[in-house]
Order: sequence, then structure tokens, then C-alpha cells
Amino acid sequence: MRIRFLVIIFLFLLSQQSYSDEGIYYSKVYYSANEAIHKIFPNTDSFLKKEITLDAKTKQEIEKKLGFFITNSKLVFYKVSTKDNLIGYCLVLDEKGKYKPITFMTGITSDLKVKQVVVMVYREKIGSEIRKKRFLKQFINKTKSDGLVVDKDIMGISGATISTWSIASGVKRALVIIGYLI
Amino acid sequence: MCNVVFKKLLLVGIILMLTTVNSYIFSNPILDRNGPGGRSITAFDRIGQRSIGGYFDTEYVNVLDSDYTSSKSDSSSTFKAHRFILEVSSQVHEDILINSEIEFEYGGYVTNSASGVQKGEIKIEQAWLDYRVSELFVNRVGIILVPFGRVNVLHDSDVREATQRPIYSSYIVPSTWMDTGVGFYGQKDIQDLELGYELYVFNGLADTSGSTADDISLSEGIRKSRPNYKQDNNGSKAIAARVEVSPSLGLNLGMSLYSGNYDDAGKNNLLLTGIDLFYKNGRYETLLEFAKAFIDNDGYSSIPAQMEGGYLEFRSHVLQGYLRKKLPSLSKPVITLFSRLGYVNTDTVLNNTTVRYTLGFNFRPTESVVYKFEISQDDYRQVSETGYKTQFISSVAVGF
Repeated sequence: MRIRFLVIIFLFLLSQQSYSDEGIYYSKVYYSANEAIHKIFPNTDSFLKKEITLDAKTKQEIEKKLGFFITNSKLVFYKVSTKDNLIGYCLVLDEKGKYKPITFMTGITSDLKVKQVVVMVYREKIGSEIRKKRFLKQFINKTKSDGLVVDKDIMGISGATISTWSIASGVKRALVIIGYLI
Repeated sequence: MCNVVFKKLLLVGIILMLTTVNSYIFSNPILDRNGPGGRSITAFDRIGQRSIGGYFDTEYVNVLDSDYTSSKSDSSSTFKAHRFILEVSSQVHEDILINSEIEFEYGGYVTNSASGVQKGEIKIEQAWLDYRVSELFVNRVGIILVPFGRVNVLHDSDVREATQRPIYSSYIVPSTWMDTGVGFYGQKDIQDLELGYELYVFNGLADTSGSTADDISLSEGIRKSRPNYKQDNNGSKAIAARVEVSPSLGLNLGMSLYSGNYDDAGKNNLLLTGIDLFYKNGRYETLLEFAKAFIDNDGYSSIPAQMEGGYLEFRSHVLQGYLRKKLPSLSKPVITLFSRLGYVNTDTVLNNTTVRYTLGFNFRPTESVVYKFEISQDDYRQVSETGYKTQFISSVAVGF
């Protein structure tokens, strides 16, 4: 029995070491959080980082509004200001792409419309077209009342279906979460 | 009792030793071919991120009805273990990638029968090295898919909506069409406009004198003249080029060109020109491809001077919202309806035409798994054959 246990431990160790270098090349960082905020709100002169953990009740209420689940309760968002005037919010989300998470920032104006979406880190070999402006500009001025459904009000990209869905549902999530939190 | 304890201790010792060796190997990449790992087994000491994937399909074909002027007959119902493809790639440097695609067709059963007919096939469809100088200039060398049209490059079973490839992919742009060569491809974005190109030099199509195995013909189009990987039959190189423009999201226009001498003497040229279009508007998609071949046939009177073919396909993705609600555990399930009208004319002078109508649907529980169902009818308006064949075709295809 003990030997079986050791064999399992051994196989576990083996697998850990074998795949320890996974993902080093395909990950591409396009923007840091700081760069993404300045890209979305070029005139900002200050921003305040907030890390929050949604409690079970809040999470449930947001999920009810969304119609789908929130996978991560820990969130990072930024309050963005110019000369002490709040001009918007930026929320960083990791949405699962086909195999790996896509890290992106949704910039939302103070009247809760999407200002811009910026893909910060893309980790897959294919489908990186979703980081291009011509896809992302479809989200500008969308609000939480918009469906953000691929092939309905968001044009999908052939060959990057899951990634397009991931961004669309992520932006929807960002709008509802920010709308709920402020 | 002692014996049992000893065996257990021995086993634990072996395990610990293997773990140590494993740690050593991964902390000390073997860069010397004479180092640990063996003189011949060098794969373990390569640096790079490796991926193994592929796709697989199994088909069911049932001939519902057929009528021929010749004595040809069809087997009425069969399963086909059509393809099992292994793809192995490795990113050996941030800008250098090697990729391969190894196909086992019909179980890879290549033992020749008494009649010399192979029942299956094992072949390399792609094996190339990419070196990215920039987004605009990527050098590719090796066994490369000829960049002609859309289907030849996007030919994976799980990517295509229907089981059957368009009929023009059998005779005019003979998918899967690959060749050995070298070239460049790249992409440039100008605002919303996306431009892409591919340009390669290949050995080229071959119609060898004295052999009927690779003839360009009325009955086979240019399919049989796809080259081998060993030697150029005439030393004259062929050029394949493709330009793709995407002025907006959902609209792609492509132009393809292939030119090369095919005969042993290198005197007769085959020029293949093609256009293609992909348009997506919401859940509706339209796909169009057309190609025309101009063939010099000096001394080869059996080779047609011109061939052409094409198809028009419509698709609609339906019930996405409904399926997501009803099947929440699945990742983006979708049903796609499709219809296609395709034709080939392998001699435009004699008018040797086959028209294929296809109507069907598929279900994708997730993007890379698809269950396909279709009815197709081939309408033969050929020089030596008239009649039709109606088939029900179903398949499962998985990309993994």
C-alpha cells in the first residue's frame, strides 16, 4: 500500500518536473496594468487600485444579474481620476480562452459605458485576433443592458470562437460588477 | 518476510533513484549528444516547448440511390476510419517554430495487397520550420501546404462544417496539396484593414513520362500529379502565391496563383488561378471559391487544356442561446446548418462536368468536437458517364 503511495508521489513529481516549463513562449504580454489604464484614459493623472473579494451573497446577486457564473471572487479594479474628478473605472479580468486565461482590462466611464477594452496578456497559439482594435471597438459605449452576445450584437471571429465569447462575456461581467460595486 | 521487506526497500530505492535522475535531467539540459540520455535518443535533451495534438474522424457513408450509364456500382453502406492525424510542434525559440502533421488514413494500412493497391496511407502532410523575422516576413521551409484557396490550408476535419470537402478540392485544387519548398508569409494591419501574403517556391506538380500513376487527366483532374518529396521531375521550380485582404471584420477576400512546369522536359506549364471570399454577418456565413487551370499540352494530347471548378456555401449557426441554457456544462455548444453547391469541369472544351449538391447540419458540443450529418448528390454530366449518386454521410471529428 505504501509502495503504491510512493509510486503515486513519484509519478506526481515526474509530471510536475516534466511540464514545469509550460507556457513560457506562447504567453505574450501586450500591456501592464499601468499602460492599459493610460491607453484607455490618456488624460488620467491618478488612479487608485482596489482589491476586493466578493462575499458569497454579493457573488450570488451579481451572478443572478449576469445569468452566468463568476469564476473568481477576487477582483482588481482601479478608480481613475483627472484633477480629483472621477472619470471612470478599470477592471482586470482573467477569462478562460480555449485552453488558457486571457487577461484583459475593461475601461468603464463614470456613466457606466465601456470606454475601451484592452487585452493585456494572451497565452494561446491561435486566436490572438481578438486583441485587435477592429474587434475590440465593438464594445465601445456598450452598457450592462446590452446583451453582448456573439453573432448577435458582437461580431465573432471565425477560428477564434471561444476567445470572442470569452471577451464578450468578460466585458458583460465587468459592466455588471462595476455597476453593482459603485 | 525479509525477502518481502527487501523487495519493498529495493523498489523504494529505485523510485528515489529515478526521481533523482529525473531532477538531474530537468535541471541539467543535456546539450552534448554524448551526454546522459544516450547517443541516439536526443529528443529528451532538446530545448523548447513541445506540443502534441491532432485530429481524428470516423465517417459513415450510405449510398441511398444511384444510376450510371456505365457498369459502375457502389457499396451501399460503410463506416470509414478516414483520418487519424498527429501534429507535433516545438517552439525552439521565441521566433522559431517547427510544426508537423502526420496522417494515418484508413488506419494507415499500407501493406500492399496482391493487386498492389494500398488500402491505407501514412504520410507527412506538413513538416516545416518557421523563422519569424517580423510579422511581415516569416520564413517557412520544408513540406508546406500549397497556399491555394481556403480549404487546402484549413482542411482539418474538425474545422470544416461538412464531412465531404468541396468537389473542386478533389480535382482542381487537390486537397490536401503539399510540396517541398521554401518561401515567406506575413501580415500587415493598416487601421482596420488586414493584408496577408504567402509566397513559395516548390518542386511543383509532376506528370512523369511513362508512368500513369501521376497523370493529369480528364478523369482525375490534376489530383494525381501532386508531387513526391524526393525529387523534382524536371528541375524547374513552381511558384505559389496567395494574397488575402480583409477590409473589415468578417470579410476576407483572397487571390491565389500557382505556376509550374509539370512534364519531365520542363516545357509544359500549368497555370492555376483562383479567387475566394469569406463573409460573415452575425450568425450567417458565406464562402465562395473558384479556380481555373490553364495547361500547356504540347505532346500530351490526352491532357485537357483547361479545367475549372468552384463552390458556394452558406452556413447559419443556430440555437446558440437555447443550447447554452439547456446544456450549461458544455462550452459554447452550437448547431450549424449548411448548404453547398459545387462543380468541377475537368475539360472545358469537352465539358466534362460533375455537380455536387450538399445539404446538412452539424452539432458542436464544444468548438473542436463536431457531429456532422449531410445528404449529397453528385450529378455526372461527363464525357463517359452520366447519372447521379445520392448519399447520406455522417461523421464525428475531433481536434485534440
